[in-house]
Amino acid sequence: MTLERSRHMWMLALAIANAMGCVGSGGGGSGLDGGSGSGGFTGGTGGFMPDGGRCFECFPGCFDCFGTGCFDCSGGAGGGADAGVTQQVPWVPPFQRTGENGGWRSTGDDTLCVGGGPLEGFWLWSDARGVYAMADGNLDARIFLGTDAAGDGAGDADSGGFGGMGGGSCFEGLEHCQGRVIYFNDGESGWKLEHRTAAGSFGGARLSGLPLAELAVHSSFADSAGCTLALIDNGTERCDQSGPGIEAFFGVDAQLAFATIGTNLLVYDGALWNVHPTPLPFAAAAMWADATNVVIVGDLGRISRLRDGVWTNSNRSIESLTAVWAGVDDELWVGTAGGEILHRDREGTWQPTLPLRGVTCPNRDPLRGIWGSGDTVYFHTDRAIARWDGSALRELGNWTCALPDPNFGDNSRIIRDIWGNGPDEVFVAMTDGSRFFSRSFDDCGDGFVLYFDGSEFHRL
Amino acid sequence: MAMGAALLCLGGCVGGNGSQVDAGSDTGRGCFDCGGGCFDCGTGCQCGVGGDGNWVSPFPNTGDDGTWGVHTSPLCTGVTQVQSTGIWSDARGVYLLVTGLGATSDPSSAERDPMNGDQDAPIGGGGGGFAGAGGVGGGQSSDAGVPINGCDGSGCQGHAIYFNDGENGWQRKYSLEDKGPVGGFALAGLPNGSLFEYGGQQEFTSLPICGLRRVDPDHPWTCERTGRAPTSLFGVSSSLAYASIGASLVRFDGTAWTAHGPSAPTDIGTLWADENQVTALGFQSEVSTLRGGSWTSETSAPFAYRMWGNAANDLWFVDTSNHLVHFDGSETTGIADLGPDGCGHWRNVTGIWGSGDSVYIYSPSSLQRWDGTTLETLGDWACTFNDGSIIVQRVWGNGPDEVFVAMSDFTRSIRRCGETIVVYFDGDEFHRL
Repeated sequence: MTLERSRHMWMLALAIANAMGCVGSGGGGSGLDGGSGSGGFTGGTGGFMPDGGRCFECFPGCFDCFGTGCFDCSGGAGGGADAGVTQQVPWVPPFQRTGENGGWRSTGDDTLCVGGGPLEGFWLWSDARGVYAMADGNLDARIFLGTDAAGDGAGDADSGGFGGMGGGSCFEGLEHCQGRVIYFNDGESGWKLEHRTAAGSFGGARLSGLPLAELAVHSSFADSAGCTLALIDNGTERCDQSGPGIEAFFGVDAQLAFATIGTNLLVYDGALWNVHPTPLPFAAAAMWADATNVVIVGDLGRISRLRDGVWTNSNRSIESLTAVWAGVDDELWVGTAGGEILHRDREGTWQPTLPLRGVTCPNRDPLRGIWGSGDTVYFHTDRAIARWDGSALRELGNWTCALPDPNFGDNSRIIRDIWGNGPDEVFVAMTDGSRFFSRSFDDCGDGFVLYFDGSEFHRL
Repeated sequence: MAMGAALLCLGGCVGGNGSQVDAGSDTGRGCFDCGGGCFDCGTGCQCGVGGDGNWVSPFPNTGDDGTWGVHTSPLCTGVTQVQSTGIWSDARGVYLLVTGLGATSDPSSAERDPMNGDQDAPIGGGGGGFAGAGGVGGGQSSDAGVPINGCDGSGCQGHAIYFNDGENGWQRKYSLEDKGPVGGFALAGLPNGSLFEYGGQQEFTSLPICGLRRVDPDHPWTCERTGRAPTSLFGVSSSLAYASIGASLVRFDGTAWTAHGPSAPTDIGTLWADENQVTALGFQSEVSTLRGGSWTSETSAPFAYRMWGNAANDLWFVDTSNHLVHFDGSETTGIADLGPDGCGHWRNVTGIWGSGDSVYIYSPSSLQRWDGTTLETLGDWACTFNDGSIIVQRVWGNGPDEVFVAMSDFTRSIRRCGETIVVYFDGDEFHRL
């Protein structure tokens, strides 16, 4: 969307709203930029949709529910969903056991509204502080979601969408709208903008971190600023690695993290990175680590563990291994490109391979991620998620049976990432590509965060 | 020789419910031998109809059908729009891999799309219908078309392996429905052991494709690897095989595949192996041998791009100058100039297979044999047969005079029995099998 068109639409919407006598009647809920109150957008920093709906408070008390302008002021007295504002079809998570929105810690039912799209990357990571979600992409004109509290036509810095980047810089040229945005939710105050950068990785950058310390953004190829590993400390980002790509990263604690570049293992001690004296036996596709172990997996079924300075190698099949998690007593979980789970139990015996796909589905989506806590381990492909509860694998969602279509239908819904803080406090990052085509101009984009409480999924 | 079941049946033929369930038999002109001496030439099983006919072989020296083992009717797969064709054999018999539309359907129950009839009428159809001796319904639109027996779109699409033991005729031994891309697969086997399907056109889809499947009675289509597929697979014995994935080598011990040895100097295109070594022809013409845990660069065979091995000191190559080259373990010797194809163009050699003193060299439109002293062109139809409507896909055999040629005849995509033809060469004549 061009600058001229943007201004035109805004002025048109404002004119219509005024003509309808719909001005400033939002009561306590008129805050476009974090305002809150009874009857209004509860707890909503600007750009967050009520109840997962698609109406946007484009003017105090007035709403754009169709993406065609600020026409609906019928809810002006109270605003928001509670006041009868038409709700477009809400986004429905593809899990049978889906509960109400929110419900994590003391958060309300506000949900994250990531503007723009289509997102090329959407990742998350969490620790005791809360959950972080990172949108990454090279976006187009649809990024112009966002609020404008100042009325100057510029997006608000924390409006929740890429359009808010730079307090209006987005309106100055599309190139400024590319990049990464990290959102944060502490479980009390709802979502807020944590960090943003104009450098983007076209979806290639992943989000990780050091518990209770820096966030880490890493990618296997350099972002538009030439960086492959950036650490973000209290909002300040520094590039710790440029050039060669980071294939795997794992943060152990506030003062220990590992990263791999080719067959080099990099070790971070909370201040500096050093190259481990013992090289990797092969280029890692994924890594898990604790204070005394590093486990890597790679192509041709290769699995290696570094302990006491020595790599121990083993082979399982010739599949490409894509994910790894180690549990209690050297228990090991490994994911394959064929969508299967390899499990070595605490006695060191490899158990029968577990498939993560529909019973009758021929599809073989790769295992994308594993995360665990104690006896509980979560696994996901693009279109399936399951939980190991200590004795059996239980499927929590699976829509693999239809062939992937990036634009429409079930297969546009893709699980991008999982991470958590405990067996029953797990977060799932998803994108829904169909939103890019079906939603209206000002709707929230295609990135969604879900919270799983051990029983139900909740949009967060 | 006698034509067996594919004889004209004059009156008194009843039934005809199609005794061939898995792999039907093709009478030679697209008619389906539906049993009891009755034939379906596209309009249903009829008796008193001659299904006999002659598929026109591109090889000049073609004899009667069959003659390998106990004669049976020719192969009838029903697979149209063939995406991959592979052939491999051992003492048990000959195995044929076909992927495409109709691979999982029963050709005896396939129907024709009448809407496509006239415009797709088979060649030589006598007014648009199936001709053949006593052919039925000339001009009937239902004679031609594509199978619609649940095979519209991706239905019935998949993989099938047919087997012929020389006694009982062709059977569809394994089949796998697959709605994803099914192109670019090859077939290899371990003598008296498992078969493996490998390859797949990974680059044309975002779908993860199984690039290596084990196929045997205990492991029907078991996926051994997803994603980047082997480029070559060679079975040494019933419990030893090697495959190349990029520059890496993997080894099968009869039970499982594991990574094997260090990486080759470059990505591997073709493998040959015995119990003691593995020789790799790289995509950049390097010939390297893995022996004793390390790769050794062999005496170069400049610009080699096809390879066959009988033994470590008996390796054969074709180079980009169309020369057949022999490597005796220490040096290479030019053997013969294969010459241009029948159109005067560069002969696009797609493979070599050999046994004893005989080496067979094939391109899509030709087959040549080096018998130890002379090079003989057994067939070359580069400028005939409707501009490449008949092509050689793969060649394999059990001996110098027991060679199987898997071919595609694209004019037969409208035939109930499909496009795939297998020809047996007895060292003297070709015979449709």
